Amino acid sequence: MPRKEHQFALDERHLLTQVHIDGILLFILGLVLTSGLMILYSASEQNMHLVIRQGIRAGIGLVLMILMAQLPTTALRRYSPAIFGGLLLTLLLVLLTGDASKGAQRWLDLGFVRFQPSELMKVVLPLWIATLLHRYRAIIPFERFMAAGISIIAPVLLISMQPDLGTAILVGSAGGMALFFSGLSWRYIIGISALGCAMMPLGWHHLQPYQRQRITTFLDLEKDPLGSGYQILQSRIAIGSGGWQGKGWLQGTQSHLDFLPERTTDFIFSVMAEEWGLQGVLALLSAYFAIILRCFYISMKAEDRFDRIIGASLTFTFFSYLFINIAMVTGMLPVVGVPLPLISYGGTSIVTILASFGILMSIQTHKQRKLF
Amino acid sequence: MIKAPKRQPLRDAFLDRSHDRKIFTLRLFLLTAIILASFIMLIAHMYRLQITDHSQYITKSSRNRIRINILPPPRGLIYDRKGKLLAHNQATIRISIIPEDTDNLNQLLEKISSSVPLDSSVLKRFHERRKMIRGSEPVPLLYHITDQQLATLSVDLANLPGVVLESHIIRHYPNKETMAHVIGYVSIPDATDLRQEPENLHYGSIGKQGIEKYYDKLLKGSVGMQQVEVDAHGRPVRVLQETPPEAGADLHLTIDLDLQEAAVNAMGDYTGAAILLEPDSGNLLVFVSQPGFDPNLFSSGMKSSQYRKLSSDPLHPLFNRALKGRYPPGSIIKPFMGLLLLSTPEIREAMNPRGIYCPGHYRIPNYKRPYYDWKRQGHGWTTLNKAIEESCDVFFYSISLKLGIERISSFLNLFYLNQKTGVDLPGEVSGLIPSPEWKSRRMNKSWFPGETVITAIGQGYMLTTPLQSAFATALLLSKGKGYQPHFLAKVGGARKTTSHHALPIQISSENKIPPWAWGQIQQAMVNVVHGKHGTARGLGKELDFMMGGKTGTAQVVALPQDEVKHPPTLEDHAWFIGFAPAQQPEAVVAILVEHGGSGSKVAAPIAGKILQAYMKQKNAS
Repeated sequence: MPRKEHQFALDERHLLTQVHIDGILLFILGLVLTSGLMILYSASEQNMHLVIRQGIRAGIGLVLMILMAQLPTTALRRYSPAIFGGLLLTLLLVLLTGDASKGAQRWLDLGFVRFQPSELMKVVLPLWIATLLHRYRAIIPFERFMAAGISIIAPVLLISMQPDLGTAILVGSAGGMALFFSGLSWRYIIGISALGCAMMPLGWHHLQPYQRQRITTFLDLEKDPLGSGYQILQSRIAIGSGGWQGKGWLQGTQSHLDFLPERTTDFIFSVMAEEWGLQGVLALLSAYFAIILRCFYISMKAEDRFDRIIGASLTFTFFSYLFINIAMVTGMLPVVGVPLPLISYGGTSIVTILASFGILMSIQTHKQRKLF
Repeated sequence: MIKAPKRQPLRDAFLDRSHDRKIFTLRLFLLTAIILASFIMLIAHMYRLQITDHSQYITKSSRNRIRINILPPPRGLIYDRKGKLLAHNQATIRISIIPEDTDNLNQLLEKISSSVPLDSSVLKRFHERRKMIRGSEPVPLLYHITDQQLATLSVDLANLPGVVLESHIIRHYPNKETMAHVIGYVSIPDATDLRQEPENLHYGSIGKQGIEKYYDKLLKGSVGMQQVEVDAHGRPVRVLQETPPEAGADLHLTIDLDLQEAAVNAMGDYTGAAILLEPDSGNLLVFVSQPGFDPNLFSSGMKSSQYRKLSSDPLHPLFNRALKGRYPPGSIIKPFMGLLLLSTPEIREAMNPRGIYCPGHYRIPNYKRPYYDWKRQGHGWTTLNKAIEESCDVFFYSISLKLGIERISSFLNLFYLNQKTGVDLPGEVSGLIPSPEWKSRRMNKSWFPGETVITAIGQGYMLTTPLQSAFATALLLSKGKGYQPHFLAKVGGARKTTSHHALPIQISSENKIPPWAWGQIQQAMVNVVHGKHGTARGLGKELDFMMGGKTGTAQVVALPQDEVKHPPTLEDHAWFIGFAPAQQPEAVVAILVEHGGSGSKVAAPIAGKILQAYMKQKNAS
């Protein structure tokens, strides 16, 4: 009897694997998405219309995730040059013709849908870098390394010209991670980091005035309590006043009295921390950490080198989203405009993140089918 | 070029592969460690914010509330052409409620109504507003309260949590009825206004009629805003940000308050309109529609009973007759018909030098029905000049068929009688010059010669407004060149004033009006007042200056010619168009008295009084 039970359990797993879905990942994602909609309901002053819209986007993201999971990663490898090239062109197009929203040209209007091509780049760039480099074991030929370098610098420059510093940093670090996991030697890594530090003063000159202001503000919060430091100060008051227990769902006073600008998007974490308290924060962070661990596990177990590189890089991108966002709203980093993954209101980010989890599911499930 | 990796022996490959895997796994662990450290860092930071510094932030949060105060701009003032104030702003107190600070709103409203009566329209407006304003901001309840009500409320204020008394500006019109139809009025924006322009919520009042509406954008200015941090009790702690309001521009009008008053007095109890226009500039100096109404009722939000009374008044005081009233012009069309005759050489030259014989009636060839002259015994031989002076109908009956309706209607169109003048007031309507084409389009019927005959004396389908009549007369006396009638003279901003440039208007020269013809018609109109047989000779005798004009008596309905008794609403409309001085006209008037009867007996004396006031003022300066 016990043996049979075991058999049954195996079959069950086999079923999910057959449809290429990773049950653990899906479960945690579902939890985060559901609580995300609840937080959004409160942050939007109980605007059901907004919540439904975000729910639909999450639904689209989940469908896309399942579709991506059906696609073996070899297909991604085959098409990545075309996708990357196309997206790079689109970025150029956005820069030339894009729809300016809040002073930055990030949106491309396709008539039926508006999306941010720069968000998509966070997924596509690691794919392309992995395609370029996955054949080479520890030693990467110099021309390949140069090609990868240019592939990273070009989109980063285009996105920072939009100007969208936050996304540019995320795209750059996604590409960098792919390089790192391709086995780039430490000498290169240290060299690049040193060069990066040396270039920093030069970069300062190319920042937009508002970006510089955000950095100076960050360095001295109290100096400008009414200007851009005000946002962070208010966000900290919201978070701090939440305490251990929080003020309760829909009960946040800070968040409902108009201090937190962007409280449904970039600053939604503050709303959550105010209403759900540190216990809510811990739960959310644990869920995020569990997602990361699961994805790293999948990457580590992957048979294919390409799979490992993209698995680890995409997971890191997810991490950098949440880390930058939370560090930003708590005043540990300057305000750069990065959404809280899976929770912030907005379409492109949730869809691309879920799609990248689809790729991870594909890595996990396709490999297993080959084994059995 | 992508070089394919060299095939290696299986063992090497395995070794290499595991080496590569080792590197990957090592790096993955490294990254995991970094990520774990980052999470710990975040949690430590959150712990400090939410646990260690919690009490500090909770105090800050309870103290920290922001209120946006809207700073409404003062509305621009309106002056007449001599700088007399026609509309200004007065400070009053209004009662507002901050819904968030009340425990039970309905109970509170009940309490308030014990000292200040709240009628249903006030409550309706309040509830409409409440939906559009955030709960932490005051929602206006009552805009106008008496000093005594204010006193009782102030005493009670401590027991009425959420009630605030706010200073508030309301519009005041010192001249009341006299200027009502020019200035119009403002009112507290209602639900419709807010739907059209949500921004209106922040303005105490918006233009609803007249100059106030037409130039609302100029007058209203732009709203300022003040971001105030308040404590838990709503007391302001500090002003975070302030954008001061921008005052609306002051308007200087062409209207002349003294003349306007003279015109209102001259109109007396008659219902109708009086307009004085300067033909050389298009300036409107007098613009009266009687009866008027008190625009102050609107600006402070009148009671619904008051509004019902105004709108159901049989004399329709809210109706702007000078701008929107359409009346058959009657005989005041004759000078224009005369000008057409002089401009049509083939008919003019074929006429008998003695003119046309008037036996007191006219028959269209081959038709039986006679068209009577107002003078049943007839005018005898009548020239054009005599026809205008004595207002001979038969003369115009008989030339009308020779001229033809097409020529008549296209000629009258030149004088803006079939289109809006474009005056700077909202809601202007156009008169109507009929034509066979119009009739077939409108009624699907063909045109009859009899209709041409009565069109020639301004009856039938033809309609004009008092403003159009005044403007057409101005064009007639300025030989076809003039300016669009207008009220705006100057816009005075906070820093600079700009003069208004009226649109020049010229009658198209394709219609060959001989240059001498204008003068001949003008002289004929002078004879109407000063000639031996002029229809307004009674007026001429009383004047100490020379003027010209034309009387008109427009039938409302075709009454049987000998019926004497009929209700006053069927009485004829009395018209008079006139000008002064006789030789160099500087002012043109148009008077209409609804159901006033004879133009010469009723309308002409009013015109005389207004022109007399104008001449007196002119000679004094």
